[in-house]
Amino acid sequence: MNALLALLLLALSAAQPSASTFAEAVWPTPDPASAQTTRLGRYRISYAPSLQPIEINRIHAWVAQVMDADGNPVAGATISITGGMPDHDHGLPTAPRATAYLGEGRYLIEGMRFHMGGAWEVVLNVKSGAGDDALSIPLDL
Amino acid sequence: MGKDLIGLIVLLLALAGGGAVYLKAPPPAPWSDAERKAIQSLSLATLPSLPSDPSNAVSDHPAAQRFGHSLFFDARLSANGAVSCATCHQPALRFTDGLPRAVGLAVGTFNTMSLVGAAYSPWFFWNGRQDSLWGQATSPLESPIEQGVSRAEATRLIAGDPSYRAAYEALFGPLPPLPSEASGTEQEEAAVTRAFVNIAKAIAAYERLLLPGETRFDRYAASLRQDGPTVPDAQLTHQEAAGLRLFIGKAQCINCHNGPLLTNHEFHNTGVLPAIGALPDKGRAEGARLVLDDPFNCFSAHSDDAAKDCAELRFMRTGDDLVAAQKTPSLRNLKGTAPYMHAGQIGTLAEALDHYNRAQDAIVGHNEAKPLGLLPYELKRLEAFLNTLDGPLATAPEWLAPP
Repeated sequence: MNALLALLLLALSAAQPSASTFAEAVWPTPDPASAQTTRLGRYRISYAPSLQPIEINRIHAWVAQVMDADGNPVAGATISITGGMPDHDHGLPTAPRATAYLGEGRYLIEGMRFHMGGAWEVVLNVKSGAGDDALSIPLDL
Repeated sequence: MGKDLIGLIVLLLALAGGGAVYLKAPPPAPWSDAERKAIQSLSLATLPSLPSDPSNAVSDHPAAQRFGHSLFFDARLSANGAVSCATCHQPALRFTDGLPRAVGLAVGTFNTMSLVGAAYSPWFFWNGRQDSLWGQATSPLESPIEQGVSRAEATRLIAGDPSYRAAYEALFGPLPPLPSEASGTEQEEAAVTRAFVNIAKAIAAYERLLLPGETRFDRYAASLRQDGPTVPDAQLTHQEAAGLRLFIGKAQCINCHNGPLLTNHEFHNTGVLPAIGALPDKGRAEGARLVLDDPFNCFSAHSDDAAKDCAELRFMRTGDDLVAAQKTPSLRNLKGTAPYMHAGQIGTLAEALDHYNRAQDAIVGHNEAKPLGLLPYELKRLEAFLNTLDGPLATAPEWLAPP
């Protein structure tokens, strides 16, 4: 009985690898053609959420690809995430962070969740040798 | 002229305080595409099937559900032999107790939250101080004002009841040896804690069965999805439909009471006054600290999730600006779950609606809600709509009574 349960659990866990386990997960790849220029023009950033379309109340991850103004990938940048709902005067319900560098200027951002429908703004703040800059991304959920 | 004047006076009277009585809602205008989308987003049909709980290896195991069912109704799991989980979570009251604040061994601090659909939430209790259904189940057992049993006492009850022992050991393996009073080694105590956690995991397996069922609102939403009125009992009255329009629009209820459970599972300060004679509750600011320190949280060795992703906990917002924020409750089955708010401060739906309509300054932190300026007849419409969210549970009746 116990052995059967253990087998069942093993089969279940094998069939459903945790999508968010870093080592196993296949993260989305941002489309470079969708890149947007940051406020001061220092970077071009494209991004891809792991949840498409984004749904409210579900925690998920984003991948952001950061290129410099000449189109070269930016490694070693510090990325921080802020934002909120401008109309409601509140911030994000979670504290998302960049948790890994995936190569080629791509950063894994975990802990994204939106808890209301409506107009959101996500701000990706980038710090690197090329200077500080930020991209504001409007979302309508 | 006299007739016109009388008509005008009647109209003015109708628009004043008593307007709710006279201003019955007209037939609703057709729903816009955005409104239709919002209505469907609240419908039970959009609720995904309950995801498995990787932190609880027996979360969907039928034997654990049956074992947990027995434990849930067993008052022997209390210091005085008179308090079970079901004392505060009464099936007839949608797994609440009808009291402002829970009464176990003593009067508690908080209003009993319903367990119906609770398994969908990442956070438990009004301040979210635990992050799993089984972690939640450990708290009342040990709380000196709720059930007040020690981990060893709970384990001893299982060991001493042949059917419990058999059920336990079939699921979790042999019970640990029970240390004699206060002389247990660290290892013995750890083994007893594991057994205690297993008891809570069985209770959680049962609680996962407590799910909301279809309501009149859900049937109405279904009828909007189809061509022609093929859904039985699918109509809302004009009054209820007008309330729905306010709910998803002008009254902004849907901001927090969103999705098919009508909750975003988040924490908000809406300026609810403390219970009379009580200090203001610290709310999520304290809950976030507590869940990080909780020995049964997602990071702990007691979680069965080998991956230990714990995304909600790892990326949880913390800080003093969450002071006095309490968890958004579901709005399903409000009829059976009064009084409302975290300490049962508000007795009726009408008073709750009045509270949000005024949105007065919070005495601690800031009220996230803004005054709505709704007129009395609009509040009546909202109340009529909220009452369409009542329905039977989607849980087989045998689970709703002691085994």
